[in-house]
Amino acid sequence: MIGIGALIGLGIVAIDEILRRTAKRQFPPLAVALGIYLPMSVTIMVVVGAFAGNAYNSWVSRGKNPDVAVRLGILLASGLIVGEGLLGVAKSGLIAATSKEFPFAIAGDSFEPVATIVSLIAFPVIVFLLYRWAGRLAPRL
Amino acid sequence: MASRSALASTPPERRTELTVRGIVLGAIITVVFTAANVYVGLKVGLTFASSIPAAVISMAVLRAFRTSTIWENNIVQTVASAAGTLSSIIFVLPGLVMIGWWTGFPFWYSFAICAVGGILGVMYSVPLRRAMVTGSDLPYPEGIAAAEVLKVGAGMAGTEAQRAAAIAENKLGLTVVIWGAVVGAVYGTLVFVRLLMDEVARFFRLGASASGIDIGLQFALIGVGHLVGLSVGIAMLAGIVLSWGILVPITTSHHAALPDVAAFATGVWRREVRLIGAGAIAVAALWSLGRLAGPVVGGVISSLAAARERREGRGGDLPITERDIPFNTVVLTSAACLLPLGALLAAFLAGTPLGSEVVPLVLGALVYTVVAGLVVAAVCGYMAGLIGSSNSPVSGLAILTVLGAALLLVAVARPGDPNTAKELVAYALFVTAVIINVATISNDNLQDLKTGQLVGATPWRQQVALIFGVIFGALVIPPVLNLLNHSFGFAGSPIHGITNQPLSAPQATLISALANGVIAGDLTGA
Repeated sequence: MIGIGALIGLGIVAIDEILRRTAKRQFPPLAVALGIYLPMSVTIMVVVGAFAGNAYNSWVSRGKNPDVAVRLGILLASGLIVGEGLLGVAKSGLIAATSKEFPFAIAGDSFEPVATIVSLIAFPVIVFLLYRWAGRLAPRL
Repeated sequence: MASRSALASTPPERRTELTVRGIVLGAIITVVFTAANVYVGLKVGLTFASSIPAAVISMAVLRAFRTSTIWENNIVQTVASAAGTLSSIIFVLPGLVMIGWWTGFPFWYSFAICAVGGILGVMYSVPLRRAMVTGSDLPYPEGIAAAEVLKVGAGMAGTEAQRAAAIAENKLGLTVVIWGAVVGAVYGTLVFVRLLMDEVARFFRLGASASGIDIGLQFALIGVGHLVGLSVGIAMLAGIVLSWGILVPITTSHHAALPDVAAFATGVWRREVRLIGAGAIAVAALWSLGRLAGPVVGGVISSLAAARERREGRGGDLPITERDIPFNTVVLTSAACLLPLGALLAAFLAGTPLGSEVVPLVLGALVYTVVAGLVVAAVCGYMAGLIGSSNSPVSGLAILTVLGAALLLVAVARPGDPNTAKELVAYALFVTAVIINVATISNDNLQDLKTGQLVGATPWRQQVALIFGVIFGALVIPPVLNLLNHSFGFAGSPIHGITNQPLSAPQATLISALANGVIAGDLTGA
């Protein structure tokens, strides 16, 4: 299996080299390989984030103070990572201290269908609102 | 904030640069960002750069002091940049738990690996500064970006109105970082009390085969995607389509289906498709390294030669912006670092079947650390200039380093005895972990020094600041790793966490598998 993967890796590398030479575009082989290796629960949203960040950058570049707005986008992205990363460590501490996966659960398994629908709606809406908020700050300077 | 006239008129030796408050603020940011980076990096396989957010936070916080300067903010940024690079240790160190050598992360071992490796990284890259920062036209994309942020914040752009705008931008920047963090954390808290979901999955059958879709609803992933950019995102999407659209359906069709389709598809993916991914990671990482090999080797040689010429023609006192940590101190500190490292290596071997060969093994590892460390410091430092810290192929270097260590161990110790194979694999990972820190901190140091050059900072103060950053980062990494190991665990590790969601740790899995492959001749393990 690792051998097949190495062959696939060589194929991706070849595509990247051809794209770099002909179309001046990149197809980073390590990113393709991580897309195969990492769980989908991680990678799909990273892809969405890449498209969201790109959409944000092209949106703000048409407005006033585009440089500032692009920098604010980078800071928003860093903030999202730091917040969740710190929460991950804090959760980890609580889980270790209580030896339970969800020591402070308010809802149970039966609430999952509702929570799923709410989350699927709320998550993209919050992402959209955050980016719109950040993008509207810079032109006011 | 220093105005333009103050920048020019302050006597350089007495200006506000390396201050206690700067180091304390840098320490706080380092501890926070390192903890976040270790968690996100183990989950996602990517770490994020901390220089720019640190510079923005620093400028906003230090504005409360009238005496703060652009150089002081640069020092805070330098201390905190260690958080983005030292956390690359998670690409190697969890391997020691995965192979079953450790059950947790002993504090002093883990701290010393990070601290000794990091300090050696600073020391090895000090002599490279003139060659690769001052005397080269390398682009340093990220080093220049950080300098831009610092200059905008210091209002060096001229008019009062522009300065006011810069101050307003800094405040906004801090607000945006904080709100991003709060939203991510609040959503995550609601998930923790089970009012919201952070993962929604559906798996389905396609005739005899199976596949599915599994979406993680986590704001950090959006942030990582934003920072890696569109071409990485598209490439990753291609990887997802390849694995779940082609490889998983094909491999599942070769197995008898299980009644639970989710367990069936993810089980086949974890046991088989993932290994394909690991093989592809190895090739891709080595290729990214290889395509830089030509420019890097040529660049290192020519810039060292140019530096030698300049040094011969030089005389008199150096201006402050050219003063490094003195060369004698660099040599003595590097040598002094080898004492605790040697003691650590000896303690690591004591009580194992390898204990009888402790002298040749320790000496060999020290020589390998010095030689390979100097090489990777130069290579990785040059990469900071060429493509920036975040894009440097550290995993490729880690693969080569562990292969080198493992091959040397096989040649020296001849692991004919299967009882010593595990010890040798552990030893190879241990040495690799130290060298990877040398590489990433050297990369970081040169990038910081480029930023410093652009804002007129004092090199030796930055180098000292980075040592502080390394020590603060090294203090926080072991307890965070222990916590994560205990509560989540790592994929493929014999230690299971309390939850059923092990962290992926892709690079560490691959590197321990490679060490095992060379030493025990078994590539399927880990």
